[in-house]
Parts: sequence; structure tokens; C-alpha cells
Amino acid sequence: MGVVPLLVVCSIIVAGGFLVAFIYASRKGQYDDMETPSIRMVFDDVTTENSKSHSTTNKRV
Amino acid sequence: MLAKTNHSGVACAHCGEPVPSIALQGNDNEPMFCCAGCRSVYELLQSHQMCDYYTLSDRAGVSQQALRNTETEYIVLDKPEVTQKFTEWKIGGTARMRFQIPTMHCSSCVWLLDQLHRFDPGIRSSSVDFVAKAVAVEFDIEQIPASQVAWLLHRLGYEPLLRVEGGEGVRESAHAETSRQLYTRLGIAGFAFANVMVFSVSAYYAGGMTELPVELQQLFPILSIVLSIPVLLYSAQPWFASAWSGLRAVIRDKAGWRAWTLDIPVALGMLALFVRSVIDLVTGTGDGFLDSFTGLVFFLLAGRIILHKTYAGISFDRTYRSFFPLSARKEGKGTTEVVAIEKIVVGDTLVLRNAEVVPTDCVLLDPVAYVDYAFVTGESVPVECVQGQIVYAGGRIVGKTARLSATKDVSHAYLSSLWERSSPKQERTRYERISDRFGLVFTIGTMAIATIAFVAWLPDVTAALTVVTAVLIIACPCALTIAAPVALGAAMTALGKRGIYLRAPRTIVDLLDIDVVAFDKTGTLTSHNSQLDTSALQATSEEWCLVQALATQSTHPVSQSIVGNSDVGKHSLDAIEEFPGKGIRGIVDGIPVLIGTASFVNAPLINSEGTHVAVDGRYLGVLHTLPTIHDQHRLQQLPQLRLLISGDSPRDEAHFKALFADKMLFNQTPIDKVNTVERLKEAGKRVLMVGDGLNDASALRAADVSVSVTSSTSTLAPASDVVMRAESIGNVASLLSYASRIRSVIWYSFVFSMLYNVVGLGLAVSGQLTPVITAIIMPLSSLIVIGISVWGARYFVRREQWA
Repeated sequence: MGVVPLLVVCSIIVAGGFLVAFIYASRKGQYDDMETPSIRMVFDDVTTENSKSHSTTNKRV
Repeated sequence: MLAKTNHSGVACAHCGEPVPSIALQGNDNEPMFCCAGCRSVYELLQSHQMCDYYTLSDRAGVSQQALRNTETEYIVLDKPEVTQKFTEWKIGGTARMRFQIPTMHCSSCVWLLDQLHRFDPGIRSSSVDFVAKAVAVEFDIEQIPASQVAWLLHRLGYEPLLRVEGGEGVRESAHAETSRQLYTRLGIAGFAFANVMVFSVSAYYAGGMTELPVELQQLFPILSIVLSIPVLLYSAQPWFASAWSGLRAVIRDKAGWRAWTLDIPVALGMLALFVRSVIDLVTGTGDGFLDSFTGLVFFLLAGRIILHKTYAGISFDRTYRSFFPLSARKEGKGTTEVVAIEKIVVGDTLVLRNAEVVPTDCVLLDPVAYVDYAFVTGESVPVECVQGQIVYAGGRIVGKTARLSATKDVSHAYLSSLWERSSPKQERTRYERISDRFGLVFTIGTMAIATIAFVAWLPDVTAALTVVTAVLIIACPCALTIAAPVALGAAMTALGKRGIYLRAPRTIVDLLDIDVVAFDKTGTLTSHNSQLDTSALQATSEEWCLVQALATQSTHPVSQSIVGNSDVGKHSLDAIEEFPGKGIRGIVDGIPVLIGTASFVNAPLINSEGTHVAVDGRYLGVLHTLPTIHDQHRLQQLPQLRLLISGDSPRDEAHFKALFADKMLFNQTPIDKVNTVERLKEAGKRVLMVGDGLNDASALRAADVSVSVTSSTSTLAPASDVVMRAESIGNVASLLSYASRIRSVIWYSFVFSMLYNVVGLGLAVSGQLTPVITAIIMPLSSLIVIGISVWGARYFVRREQWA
């Protein structure tokens, strides 16, 4: 059981690393806008090819 | 083709609005547009191969029919003193500016506005903040001036909102800073919570700290305390700060018990938890409550972040100031120059065009001009001014361009005073007053119980102290502090999805117990552009074109309805004569055209109502304007007293009889409106005012709660508590009944958390509150309360009818 205190301290240090990473990310504005990136990520597939061959036809109301 | 078919059944290729038949030219394969604005946006996108815009979401484009600004409006952005208001930073030749884009609404908008660099090499990058409806643009100031960036946004159909007091930058960054801090606090509390819980759970399994292996007996308490200290000092700081300032106000500033807040018992509970735990752990008399303490702070912070996000999503802090012009055209010696309105001084000659707002009191230099004082007086019919007459600030030029000479310097204070009668809103709202008074009663109750328990246990001081701290811990009204904000926040989000935006979550509480609902007429109950009924008119499209061409020469509301948004094209106009109160006549493309009253046009039925039309001496028929009341049926179901306060003349009084009976007031100036509202309030009524814009702004402020309606997303709403779409004004009825449902939801959570407190206090005073029980019941009660609140808010919003 003597190893348990060592493991506890190690795990806290590892977890502390993640805490520091989290704080760093939030300070850098990583959580400022959680909405727009979710919209942005769907675009990449569409943009490249359709641009040239696109033709618009009017929709009937 | 007959003119009575107003719409061709074809959707505009840009915005999807129906294309007016008059605009139908060209063959079937070409895209059709409802107006010239939409066409130019489409062509701009096409020339940059950006037509994917239309495939990314169904209704990407916004109708361009209502745009006001022109290229020259933006030139003022290049003046250093104005530029600086909108600039986030500037390093060397690169600047970053943030523009508010109120019309941003879908994924296509994000896609397009993220790629502004494809339109101009001078633009480095652009990035959208969808929730705040803003786009930040980084550009090379040498290659493209700020005004051109704004003009590009305008040409793409995203008219940037420029306000006299500058960009949103400062407010936004303050908001972002609070949000980042909350996340950091949450991270630290979560970290401590998870680790302390591991130590505690192993202790609970072993049967207490003292039963653990010796080396852990020393390590776990020390680590728990070390981890909890930052939670106490940093994560829980908002509650301590608020409690401290509340206490200080009560004691030092003699603010009385009114300054007491619910945060005081919360902070007291937290402190009791921490101190008692540290003493227990250090002396080895108990296992401590540090897991409950860190968990409590974590849950409270999570609740606060949810609220903060709800609040951020709704940024309609747009005031009437948004209507103010940012600049005006000043005429110098042979040149005209655009200047910021602060720079206008007495004696300057200003050139104002159609729909521009007069920035200061002026004298008219032209022979005649039409001014619409709807912003100031509420009357929608433009006033005719002649040379030498004074045109007052706040008026809007209608029709022909006018030259004016300024007689006063521009003063923002004066401009504001036109609309804003100082009626400072009470700082603390109903909701805060209720919850804080509750907090006071709660604290007194807790203190009383703690004292009684202490006395009861007295000979044994240690046991008595243990019981007192246990009472303070369990009576911490955390469930109570969470219940109401979460229910209100959930309600606010649910309403937002239905197109109703609240200023703040607590607005719901203000919507309770309303006695009188007062409505403005034009623009609120009815639309600004009255519908034109052309069913009694027999005209070919060529004849209709001539009528429209003549109508462009008049500023009368009916003429403006005739012109509508259609592009009339070039016609030769001759011998135009307008007879006030009768009509207008003229020769268009060589053909005489008459529009006016029955006798003016020589209609067969001399006394019939409406606007009659004759072309080339032939009587074509009559036009009627119909004020269309939005959602009359649902408004009739409002149980409250309905009142109509209108700035207009009582010309279509009969139309509103069904809805208001005799509760109608006409010819009301903005001040009259305020007085009416205040009289009602003095009579002890709670007034809800529903209005549309500037002429109601002060009445909206005076009312207990204000709802402002907008007819489109691009129209700006004045500062008010609720914003909704004009077409769905019937939602007012649903909103009021929903508010009372939310009250019962909050009531359920209160009852539940009182039950929890009774049970918990029973355990506490009998000395049976162990750390294990606390660790289970404290988070459980918070979660149940959150559950009741969120579920209740969502359940009841589905039970109401929304349009």
C-alpha cells in the first residue's frame, strides 16, 4: 500500500496538467464562441467544385 | 396582364420573396428578382463564383427592398475620429474592425462573411461571431479604406449597423472576459471536486478517515484542504463578493434590509462548510464536508455559465440611437463633403436626401420639402415645409432632396431628449426584490433555528457548535438560488426559438400580473405599408406603369403604396400638379394621368370612397387601402384590458372597434402616450406597452414592461424588454399566460427545496448530519430543482400556441 500516496500525487500532477491546459485554452478565447464553428465545419466539402457549375433556377412559391 | 395580380408567383432568386409581376421581364431561364437590390447582390456573388451561398441554406438572401444607406454614408468611416470607434486594433497598415450585422441569420451568412477576402485583395481575413451577429474584418488600410469594407458588406446585402457611440467592441470584450473567468473558476472547482471526491469516497468505504491506512490518513486530509483553498478563494469569489457588498450596504451605508441579498446565506453556508471541514480534518474529529463544498461551488458555477450564455445569445441592446445618422453631407464652395454629425456647426449647409434624418434644427433653403415627423410626433403623413421654415431635428426627409442650413450645433443630448423623457427605470426589478426579500426571511429563519439548536444542546459546547454549523450548511439556499434563474433562463431560450427575445431572464417575472395591455396602432397592430386593394381596378400593365410613374411624384402614403417597391423605370413626366386633399395629375409619356378623390377624377359615383384612377381620360377604377390588423383573433383572447394609443387621426376607428371597444385614444403625441401610461400606473395598474419604434420609445420606457415589434430583422428595435415580430403580435397573449405558468414552475421548485430544507434541518438539529448524507442530498437536491425548472419551462412552452 506504500505506493498509493505516490500514485495519488502523480495522478494529481497529471490531472493538474490538464487543468492548466483548460485554463490556458479558455484564457485564449477557445470557449468564447461555441456556436459559429459548429456552422463553419460543414462548409469545406461544398465550396470547391460546385462554385463553377452552379446555376440557379427560380423556385415556385 | 392585369395589374390586379400583384405577384407573379415566382420567387426572387436572391431572397425568395415573391417577384412583383411588374418586374417580370426577360425569359424563363434567367433568374428573377424582386428588386434591383437583390439583383445586384446576386450579380456580385456570381462574378466571384460564390453562388454556393444559395445552396447552403434555403432562404439565405435577405430582401434588399428596405435598405437605406448609400455608399457616401460610409465615407465618414474614414475619418480618424470615427474609424477609431469601430477599430479593435491597428498594427502598422493592418486594422481589425468589428461590424454589427443585424441581418445575419443562417449558415450561408456565416459562409459568405467568413470569406470576404475573396471579394477584395485588401481584406486579409474575416471571422463571424454568429451569436453576437458580428463580423470582425482584418484588412490592409492602404489597399482598402474602412468605408469600402462597410460598402462591400452593404453590397452583399449585409448592411452594417453603425452607431453614433461606436462599435460593440468594449462591451463585447467585457462580456468575453467575464465568460473566460467563469470557465477558469469552473475548471478549478471541477478539478478540486473530482479529486476531493475520490479521497472522500475511499474514506466512506473504509468507514471514515481514521480507518484508512496510516499514510493515507495523513495525506488525504492535507490534499483535500490544499485543493479546496483555491475553490474558496477564487471559484466561489462571486458569491462572497456579492454577499460582502450586500452586507456592507446594510451595515455601513445604512441601506436597510432592502440591500439584503440571497447570496448572503449562500456565502455563509459555503464558509460554514469550509471552516467546519478544516477543523474536523485537522483535529481528526470527522471526515469533513469538502466534497460537498467543492461540488456545491461547481454546480453553482455551472448554473451561472448557462445563464451567462443565454444572456449572450440575445444582444438587442440597440437603442433609438441606432436611428441617428452618423454623418451628413455638408455643402461647401462648389463641393459636398460627408462629415460626422458632431462636426456640424451653425450655418453649415446640409444636403439631405430621401429617408435621411435631420440631425439638428435647420432652416429650409429649398422652395419646398416634405418632412416626416413620425419619429417625433407619431403622425405618419409627411408635413410640407416651405422656404425659410424651420425643420426640426428628428424629422425625416421624404421624396426630393432638400438643402438646409443648420441653426443649432448638433448635440446628442438634445437629440436624445426628443425621444427620451428621463424616467430612469428602477434598478432592481420585481424578481430581484422578491428573491432578496425571501433571502432575508430565509436567513432570519435559519439563524433562529441555529440559535435554538445551539441553546438546546448547550451544556455540550462542542456538540452545540457542530449542530450550528450543520444547520448553516444544510440551510444554504443553493437550490433556491438555482431554481428561479434556471427556470427563467430555460424559458428565455425556449421563447427565443419561437422568435420572442427577452432582454433578461427576469423579464418573465415582470410579465406577471399585468392589468392593462396598451397598443400602438401603425406599425404595431397594422403594417407600415398599408395593403393596396386593386381588385376594383381594370388596368393593363402599361397603364399601371404610368400610374406608378405619376405616383412617384407624390409623398402621400397612398401614392407610396402604389409605387411600393417596384422599379418604375424612366418615363417622361410633364405638367405635374398636386392638389392637397384631392389628388395629383400629370402627363406621363404624353398620356394624361389622374389619381385622387372621386370628384377629382370624375368618377361615375361621385361620393365613393378610396383613391380613383383615370388614364387618358378613361376611368379605370378605384383603389382601397386596407389597414391589416395582425392576429386580431388571438389578441381578442387577452384577458387583460386592451387599450389603443395612437398618434394617428381617428380615420379608421371603426376598424378597431371589435378589438378595443371604446378604449381608443387618437392624436396622441409621444408625451400624451407617456402621460396615459403613467396615469394608469398611478391608478395602481401594471401596464404592458406594445409599440414599434421611436415615437413610442418613451411610453415603452414608462410602462412596467414593454414589448416592441419589428417588421423585419433589419429594422432596429428601441430599447425594450421584449422584442418580437410584428406579424405574430398575437404571441403577446401566449407570452402572458406562459409567464404565469413559469411562476408555478418556480413555485414547485421552491416547495421542493423547502421540503429538502425541512428534512435536512431535522437531521442537522438532531446532530445526525454526516458527511456522507450531505454529499448525497446536497447535489441531489440541486439536480432535482434544475430538472423541475428546465422540464417545466420546456413543457409549458409546448402547451401554448405560438405563431
